[in-house]
Amino acid sequence: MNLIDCLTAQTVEVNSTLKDPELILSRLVDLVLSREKIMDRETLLSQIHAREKLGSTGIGVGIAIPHVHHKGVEGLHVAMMTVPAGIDFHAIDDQPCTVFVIVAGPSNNREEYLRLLGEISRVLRTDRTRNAVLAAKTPEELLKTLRELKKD
Amino acid sequence: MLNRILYAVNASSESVHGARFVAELALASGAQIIALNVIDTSVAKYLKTATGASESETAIKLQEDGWRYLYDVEDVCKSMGAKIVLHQQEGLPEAIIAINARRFKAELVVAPHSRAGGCTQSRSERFVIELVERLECPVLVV
Repeated sequence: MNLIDCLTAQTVEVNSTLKDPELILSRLVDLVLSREKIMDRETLLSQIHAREKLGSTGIGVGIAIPHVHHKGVEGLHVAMMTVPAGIDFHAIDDQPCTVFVIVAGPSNNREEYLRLLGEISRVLRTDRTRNAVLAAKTPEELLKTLRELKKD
Repeated sequence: MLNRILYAVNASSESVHGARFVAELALASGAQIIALNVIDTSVAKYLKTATGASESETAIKLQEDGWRYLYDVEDVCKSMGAKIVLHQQEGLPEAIIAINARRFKAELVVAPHSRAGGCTQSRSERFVIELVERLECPVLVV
């Protein structure tokens, strides 16, 4: 499974105007649970928060990938949100984060979970992909953009 | 008291095994770990020749593998309660690690040592020597 396989219009939000990192995480959790209730919302949110406290998942160039694996989760679950104005997410390069992707995966298949995280990190750190994602005006347009970029 | 430890992840299983020790060290000292993987561009050229893959395919694999090992190291450290952030760059590993050690004001650099033997081990030993020569802070090999 790769990034585009894991996303649907339901799990993507574009042009968010949220400014608070806590609200961003909360909204990402709601997005990833909107397609399938993979686990209890409060448990997922608290685990995401707990891991974020141990170190920002902002990996630079405006990308943040909050992620968690949990024993109750089956399969890989992803949601994405763009925040064009950018927010301070204490990223490694101190730059504001504009593209957020949340990943929830199973504890008993970490290899696929790690592989997906690697792919998402590589894909979104490409200037061309990131700029195209930020330019999308609707979730459908964002998904179409990702599909077209994958073909190149 | 250590504030920052730079852990030179080298996209290998050794670096994941070493993460547990680095996490314990960070927890004991209250330090934050900066896990850095450097994609060695000279290796990329070698891999391209050795595997027959295109330059872009090789670059993609190296980048994704690098992140994959970084997230594996992060998982080990965070599951133990250690603070850690991730970073990946391309270039000559010894140089990039030294630049980032200064940038993040790391008081200690930890590097995994390859025990694979042969050319890999020899290269790993040369890398450690180079690192020690470039850094002002101590280097710990695990």
